[in-house]
Amino acid sequence: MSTTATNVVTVTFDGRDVQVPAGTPLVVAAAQVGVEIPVFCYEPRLGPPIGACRMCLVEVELGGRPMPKLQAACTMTAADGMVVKSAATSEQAKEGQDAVLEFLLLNHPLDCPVCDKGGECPLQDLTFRYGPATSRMTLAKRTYEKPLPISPSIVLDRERCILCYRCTRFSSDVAEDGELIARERGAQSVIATFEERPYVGAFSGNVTELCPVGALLPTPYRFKARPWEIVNVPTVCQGCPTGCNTWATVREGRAERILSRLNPAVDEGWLCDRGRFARHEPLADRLTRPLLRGADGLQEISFAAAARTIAQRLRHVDSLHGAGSVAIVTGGSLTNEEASAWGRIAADVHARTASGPVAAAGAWERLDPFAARIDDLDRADVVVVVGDADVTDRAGVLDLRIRAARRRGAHLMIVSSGGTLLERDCDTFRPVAAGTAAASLQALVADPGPLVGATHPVLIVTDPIDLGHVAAAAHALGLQERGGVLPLPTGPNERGARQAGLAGGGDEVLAAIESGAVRALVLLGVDPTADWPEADRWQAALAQTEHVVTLSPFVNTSVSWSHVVLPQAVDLEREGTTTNLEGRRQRLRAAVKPPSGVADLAVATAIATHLGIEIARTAPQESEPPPRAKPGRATKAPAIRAANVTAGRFALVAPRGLFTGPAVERTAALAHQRAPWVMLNHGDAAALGLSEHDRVTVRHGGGEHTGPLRTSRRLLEGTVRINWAGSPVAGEAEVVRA
Amino acid sequence: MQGPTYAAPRPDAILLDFEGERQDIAVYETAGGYAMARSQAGRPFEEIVQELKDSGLRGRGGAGFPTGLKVSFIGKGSRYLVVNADESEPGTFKDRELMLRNPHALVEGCVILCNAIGAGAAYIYIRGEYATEALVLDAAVAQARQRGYVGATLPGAPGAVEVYVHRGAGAYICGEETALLSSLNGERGQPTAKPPFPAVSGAWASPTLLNNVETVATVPFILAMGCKTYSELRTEQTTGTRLMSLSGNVARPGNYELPVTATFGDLIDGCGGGVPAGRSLKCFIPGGSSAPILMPDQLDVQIAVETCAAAGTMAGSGAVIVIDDRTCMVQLALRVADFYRHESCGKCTPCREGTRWMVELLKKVESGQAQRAEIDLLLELCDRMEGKCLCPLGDACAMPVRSYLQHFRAEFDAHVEQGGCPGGAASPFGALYPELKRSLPLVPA
Ligand SMILES: Cc1cc2nc3c(=O)[nH]c(=O)nc-3n(C[C@H](O)[C@H](O)[C@H](O)COP(=O)(O)O)c2cc1C
Ligand code: SF4
Ligand code: SF4
Ligand code: FES
Repeated sequence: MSTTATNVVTVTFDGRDVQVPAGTPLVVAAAQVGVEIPVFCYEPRLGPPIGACRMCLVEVELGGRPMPKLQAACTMTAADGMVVKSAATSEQAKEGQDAVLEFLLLNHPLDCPVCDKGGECPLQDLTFRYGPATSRMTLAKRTYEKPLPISPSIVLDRERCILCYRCTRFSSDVAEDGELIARERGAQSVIATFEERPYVGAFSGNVTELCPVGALLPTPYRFKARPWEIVNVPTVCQGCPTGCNTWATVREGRAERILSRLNPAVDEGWLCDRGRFARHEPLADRLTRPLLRGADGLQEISFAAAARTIAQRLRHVDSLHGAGSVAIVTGGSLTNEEASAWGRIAADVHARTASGPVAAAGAWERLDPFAARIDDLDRADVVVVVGDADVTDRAGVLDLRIRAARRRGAHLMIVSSGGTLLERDCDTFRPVAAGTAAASLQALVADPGPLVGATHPVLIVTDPIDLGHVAAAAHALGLQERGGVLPLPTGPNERGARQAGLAGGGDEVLAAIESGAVRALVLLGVDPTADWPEADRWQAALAQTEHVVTLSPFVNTSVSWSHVVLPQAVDLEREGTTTNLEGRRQRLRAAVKPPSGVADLAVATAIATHLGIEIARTAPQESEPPPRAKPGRATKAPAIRAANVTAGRFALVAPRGLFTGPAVERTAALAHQRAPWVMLNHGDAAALGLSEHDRVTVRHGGGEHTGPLRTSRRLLEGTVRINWAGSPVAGEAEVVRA
Repeated sequence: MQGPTYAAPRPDAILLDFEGERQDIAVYETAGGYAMARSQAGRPFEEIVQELKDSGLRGRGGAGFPTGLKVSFIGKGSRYLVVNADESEPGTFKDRELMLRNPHALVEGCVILCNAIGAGAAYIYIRGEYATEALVLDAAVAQARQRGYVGATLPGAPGAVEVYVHRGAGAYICGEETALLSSLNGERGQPTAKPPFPAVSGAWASPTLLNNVETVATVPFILAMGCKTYSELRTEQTTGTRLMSLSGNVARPGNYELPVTATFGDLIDGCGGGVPAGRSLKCFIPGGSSAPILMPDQLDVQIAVETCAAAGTMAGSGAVIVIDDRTCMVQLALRVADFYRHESCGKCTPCREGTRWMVELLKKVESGQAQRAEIDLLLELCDRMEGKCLCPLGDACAMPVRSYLQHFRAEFDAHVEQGGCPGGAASPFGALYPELKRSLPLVPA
């Protein structure tokens, strides 16, 4: 496009002129000159306005002629010379507004004193400001059975519902799960779930925030607090590396609820159910004091003693056994400030380091010339998702942004072994054998399909593969000049830990321990026996290591093998910054105190001080993603090992899902999200005499997994897909009827 | 009141006045059918548009929108024709007879319009209850396919035309064009905000021409006789003939095709033989149940679009319902309002809540439990619904009720004063539909 600046028009609202681009909805333009036009159904994040509630009726004059009827200011768009009168200046508009409010309140129950929404309810606010003082309705109100749980985490109250269709639009047009629907018609219309099944979508909780009344409420927050008793603390979700911005609702020192805090560049105001519902349960089994292993096992000691002991032992091992005899390992649950303190410690004791499960040392930096930002998806003309894992497994809310890109017209290409969530509406599906994401990238370079001629392609790789492959493919596809790559780290702040000097792969550290080179191991908020592959080898490795130091919020397997244990804070207890998958540093705020009463950074600083390192106190700084690095030379992709599957057995796909991990396991409201399932190609299922919902057992290297069968037409034959919540497994598996 | 007497108008019928079984394509062809489909297949879009504009044809679905103008609006891209055969406005049954007796006129109209706009397919969205009509149309399409009008490219045509008969599931609102298109597209049958208009985004989100059955079926005849001849039969702003569905308290109900110059008196008295012997005309509904009523002294109003508008009502779907002196207007209001309450799609607030409230209030009035103030409330309710809804269904409930109150306020008041219906059991409405009263349980006072 050439010089066509957006066509700017002038509209007058209640006598005030405003200049806006033609096509701006009147409600938006009015707000710019401080004219309030109340709305209920208008919510631009749900797609085009639908004009259903009629709350926004205004009087409009165009070309000097009044339009014959009141117009909905959400669907009517700005045109030059329009004169708009809101209820503040127009009798007619006032009548329209009164009419709609009266209609909405007609059947609305007088529940406000016992409704959780009371005090933060748009219907209550608008009624208070503009509504009638009494009701002229002398007839019986419409009643329904209530409350109805539509899932273990959400309750529906149909009497309170004003049928704005925000929730159903979210379900059909944003999450695209189609699970929440409207049923019946006219005054009998009700919100319901598809075939009365529970709403189990990964993003279901968003409807509780979209609902402008108390009709959809989060079950865990029911009757927990009133708005005047709470403080909302702005922080960032640490459920995955997306880093969605949140408000933590705190009452009497406890975090009772998580709400989204709109950041258009990151989350567009959405949260996944993990981020929303996990971890504000009472955490009964938390570690609160440092522990030291003595003759009688683990005994409580003071923080000061623990810091001194750890420093002495690390120094001792390093000086006795030399560089590489200490290993400091994390999984992405540290703040940048903590990671940086530990990075300094690691350098001082010449430690090996790891910030994730897979050896990718150096390769992350190789992606920097192709770095994309999350909002690059908004401009993408092609989105390629490569890998067996779902995007939601790695970066929850990113899934919604990819769907939005596709709805906007971007070509969505999926390269995987099938059975993933995004492939239903994709434009191109390329089936590849399980576990061959790396090889399929090379195939993509050989046959780029829709990438040919794409101006802004975005490549997303969901499997934790050697990033050398990704960098080589990105280079070959020319992504340094167009579009880019969105890398998906495995832990929320893995990227920050890597940049703070803790880079490296857990598999390398494991090999070093097994070779006897490592004498002291520090595990910072990661339990490799649960979170990483090769759980058995890790257990053996822990057993053979002389000094194991663990930082953990809970007792876990690693803790039981440790010599010194430090209690760790969880997300809402941490202060500092975190770096999301695109390199954006965002501010974490401690909404509640850690049960130990001591900040993790203080402990790390104390250890550093004992080692003679001075950690300066600096104020946490937020920052945008860094600019793209200069393109380098072509890199060579590492060699690929092909996996063979024994005849009669199945290739196993078991990505570690969104709803796994200690926080999720400790959240009752998410129990249903973790219900195990098994997925097979429908042909394989038929050959085994199995049909949908049959209970099936999958035996694999990590144990057994039993659940109802889901069949898929896209999942490759000879492949079994499970939502395994244990430590990551791969390879092959046996499938039998349970 | 003794008014003028009316004679049946001269027959200018083109759609229904014929001998023989025109469901048979051979019969239809012998009568000149499909000649236009063949001869006009290669005619440029602009010429057909001009022809339709010059003919003065106005849509027969309800709004009376000039058809030529509508065709000219259609957007670029792959286009579709959608025929509105949902015919659900109470009192309307003209499309039904047209489809039963003259289905090929509709199919030919589809072929002509599709070729004119370059559409590859026409969808006839027919109301679910019209099962026989759907079968007749299916058979007609199959015959047209055998003869090469459907599914093949006619000489000079831009391409082959497919005609699909799509059955609705029984919702009045799916006659509203955007709701019809949502339903056709596989979504919940609810209206959507305009813009985008169907001409830009309709079937499969593509530019779509949407017209009523009668409108489409008239097109071949207009082209055959020429727009000039067709438009000679005219009032100031309406041309040609119209199918009128006559029902209610009338001696000879049925469909009559009349020139738009005819008056309601011509239809009711001349064609229909007036109200039954011994009764007198109380009022009549001129254009479907949503139209405000006209009074006996308005029998000489012409049935054209603008003449109805000047009389404060609308020509609508051409359904005339005759009401004689026995009818209780409160019961009529209740029956009409309850239809719209039942058919409200529930998308927008004023219609969803207003229709329900209106019915509840009318039930109270009818049973003699209301207070006088509640009759004023009824009028206010009409104000609060009219012009505030997303689609015209809400208006369609408020407008007739308002007109009953305007003309027969005393009857409503009498219900309050006498604690029930003054006509009592004598009211034919109650007698005709005793189940109505049973089906609407009264709210306890
Ligand atoms: C509530 C409602 C119901 C309608 N029902 C019908 C119908 O059953 N048949 C019809 O042809 N038009 C119906 N219409 C009018 C259509 O929206 C549309 O205007 C018409 O089909 C256009 O065709 P025409 O231009 O040939 O009249 C209805 C409109 C409304 C608002
Ligand atoms: S439940 Fe809430 S969001 Fe959904 S339609 Fe009702 S009021 Fe709107
Ligand atoms: S006016 Fe009635 S039918 Fe039309 S959109 Fe509103 S609720 Fe639906
Ligand atoms: S906000 Fe405009 S109609 Fe609901």
